Amino acid sequence: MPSSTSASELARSWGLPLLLAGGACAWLAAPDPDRPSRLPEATVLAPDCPGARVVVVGNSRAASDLDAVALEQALGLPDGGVGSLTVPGSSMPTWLALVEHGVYGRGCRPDLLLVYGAVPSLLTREASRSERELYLAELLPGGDPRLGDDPLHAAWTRARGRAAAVRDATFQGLGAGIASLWTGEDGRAALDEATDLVFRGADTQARRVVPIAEAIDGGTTIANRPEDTWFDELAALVAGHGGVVAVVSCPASMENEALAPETLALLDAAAGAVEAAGGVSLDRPAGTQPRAYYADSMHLLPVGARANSAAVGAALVQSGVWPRAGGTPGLADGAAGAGPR
Amino acid sequence: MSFVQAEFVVFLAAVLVGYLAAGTRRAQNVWLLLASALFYGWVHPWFLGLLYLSAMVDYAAGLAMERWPEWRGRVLAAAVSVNLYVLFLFKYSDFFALNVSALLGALGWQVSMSTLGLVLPVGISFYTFQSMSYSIDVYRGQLKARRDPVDFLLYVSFFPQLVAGPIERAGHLLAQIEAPRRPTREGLTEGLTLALWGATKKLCVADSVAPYVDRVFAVPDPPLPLALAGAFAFAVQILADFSGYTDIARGVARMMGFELMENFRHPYLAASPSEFWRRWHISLSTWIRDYVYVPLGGNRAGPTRRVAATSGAMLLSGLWHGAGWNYVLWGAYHAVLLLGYRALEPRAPAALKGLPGARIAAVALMFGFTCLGWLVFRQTRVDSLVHLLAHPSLGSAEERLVAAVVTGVAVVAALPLCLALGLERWVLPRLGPGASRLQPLAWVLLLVLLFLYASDQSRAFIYFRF
Repeated sequence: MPSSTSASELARSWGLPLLLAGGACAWLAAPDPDRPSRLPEATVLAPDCPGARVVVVGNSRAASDLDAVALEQALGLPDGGVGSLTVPGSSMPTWLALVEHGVYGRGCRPDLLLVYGAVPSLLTREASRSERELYLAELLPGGDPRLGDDPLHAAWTRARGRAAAVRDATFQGLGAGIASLWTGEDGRAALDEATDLVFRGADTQARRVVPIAEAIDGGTTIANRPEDTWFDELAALVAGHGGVVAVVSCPASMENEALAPETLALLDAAAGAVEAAGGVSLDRPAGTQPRAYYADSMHLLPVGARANSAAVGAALVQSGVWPRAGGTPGLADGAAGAGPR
Repeated sequence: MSFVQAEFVVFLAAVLVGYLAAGTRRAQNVWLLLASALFYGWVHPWFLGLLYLSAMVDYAAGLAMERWPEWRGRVLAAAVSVNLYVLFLFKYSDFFALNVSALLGALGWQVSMSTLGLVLPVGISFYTFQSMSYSIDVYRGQLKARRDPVDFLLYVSFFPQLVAGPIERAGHLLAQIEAPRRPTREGLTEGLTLALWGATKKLCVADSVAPYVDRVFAVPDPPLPLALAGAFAFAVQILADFSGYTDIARGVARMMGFELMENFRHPYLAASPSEFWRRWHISLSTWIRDYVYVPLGGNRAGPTRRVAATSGAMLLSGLWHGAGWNYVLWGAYHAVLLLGYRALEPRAPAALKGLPGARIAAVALMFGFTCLGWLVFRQTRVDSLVHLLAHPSLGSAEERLVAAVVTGVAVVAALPLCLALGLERWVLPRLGPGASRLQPLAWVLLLVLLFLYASDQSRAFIYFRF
């Protein structure tokens, strides 16, 4: 190919584009000061967390399926004896990072760490991009090597987050603006109400018309060997702080489908590390819940959460992992349908 | 492999490096043939067998027609039959079985016809038509039979246009494959600009509108304003999606020194149904014109024959898109538009045509008709369409609000297309040769736009399923 471009021509052609590209990169990689906080979506440990003897870690399943009061009663703990650290849409690597930074990093020393989630979340090797973008950038601004947060990756994550915010601002703002002009009221509220009414029952993947950032998902990676899971590290981390781990798997959905034998074997093998450190792994201790207990295909209603928590608490007692040395008064009786594997 | 997967960028870079390193035309073609096989067989390698079967049937038919000219009619019939049989088997057999069973059931005969449930090979309609056109051209004496199987297989499987066109003709693409090519810097830069623009259309425009369209068409019986808003948004989506694919295909081909045919010429600026078909999916409409419409009599035939030829051509065009009554209805709708326009246009007063703004009004009217056509095309539940026509309603205040938002979003999403039209029509011609200096700026702007507005959850190109 002939090459006759002079340096001045190159500068004329590329000067402005390079400036533009550099400006765009700098803006995208910088933290977004106007980004709305996602922290309210995560139930972070209460300030009195040092009082919690049991800390529940998990995603929205743990938040909806476990009732702190019912669990306290089942475990014979006083009010505030169960703390909760749940982040919707999260999985094992995120929980591990949050336990280190959000539990032990904040001075909490629970006796029992209760990790609650469906098997795919428990066996997740790499957090999805949405986990990292939506929550962790804010919850763990310093990053965490387990989540692949090297500086370049962190910059990329921030940039994608800002791009998602721009997309959301464009389309959500546009929708709200049109709705505001149309109704003369609060556009966003009117549009939410209208879309819920119009699209109720329509069979489609999108939950509402507008959200884009919420749909971001870089795809999680599920471990397929015990050594690829995070159980070893979790057990060691908790044992190092004088506690034990209870891993409780819940059904993937209301249908309570049976796990594939190889998945069950993988979970068993991976959870071996937890049991070796004095903990326990329980597979669906609550068994099948009545459909009336479900708010949707996965999450329990409060009434279901109370029943589920009582069953989980009873199973923990029955397994011998609770009470811990030192004893806890007023333990509930063990319940049926639960037990260690 | 899809043009909008990250793997494709790596694939394309490797192909270009190998292509530039290949010294001879023969080496370039062998390299591109291998690359095309990898591209097409990426997910389902067995699809390659079907592709090569179709290609080899037409390759052999060409040689046979040249060797035994007295048998060329039968050879062509055999080649076309094999191609259409394969297409029918994979694309239409289940549709046929279900509808014949339903028809017989309605007549009182309970016949159970089993469906095959075959996976539809990506791009089968495109490459079957492309391959068949070669046999027909050889039969007509418009083309000499080719002897080099590598060149011929590359003609049928050339990866940039393999899965969603443009449907090339041997006289155009095969001739380029057989000629020496030398990639130029202009070709590379212009091709890159075109490909980036195509990706922007797909990822930023089409994929931004797609969730709204999906939601609207998932409503069981949408009222008229919502259905029309969905149709309008789909008009934006399908143009950006399909023309985006074509631009990427043409851009990638241009990087390697090939010039693929133009497939879109601002179709929504058409002022009449016939003009629309000269601007929309040009490679398919010209294929149907040359191989169906003209042989059926075309414009030279009498009125009755012309009606039959137009109806046949448009029904085929509709059915080509998929095995569904919505596509058949869409073809029939466009046949009615074409025939109605031909009947009414000569009777329109000349003074009316000369009025200022007449062209703009005609374009607006034709765009409205086009959107109605997209409503028929996109609504896969014919009963919902019948319900809409039988019981048109303005819907509730909430439905009208959502319709307004969907329309507004589609208008805003279409702005880059309008901006590009303005640049192409009024700005770039004034810049002349100096416009090429703006290419780096265009690349950066397009990349920034892609980064900001391309959703992480990209959808498959609409025309992949055809």
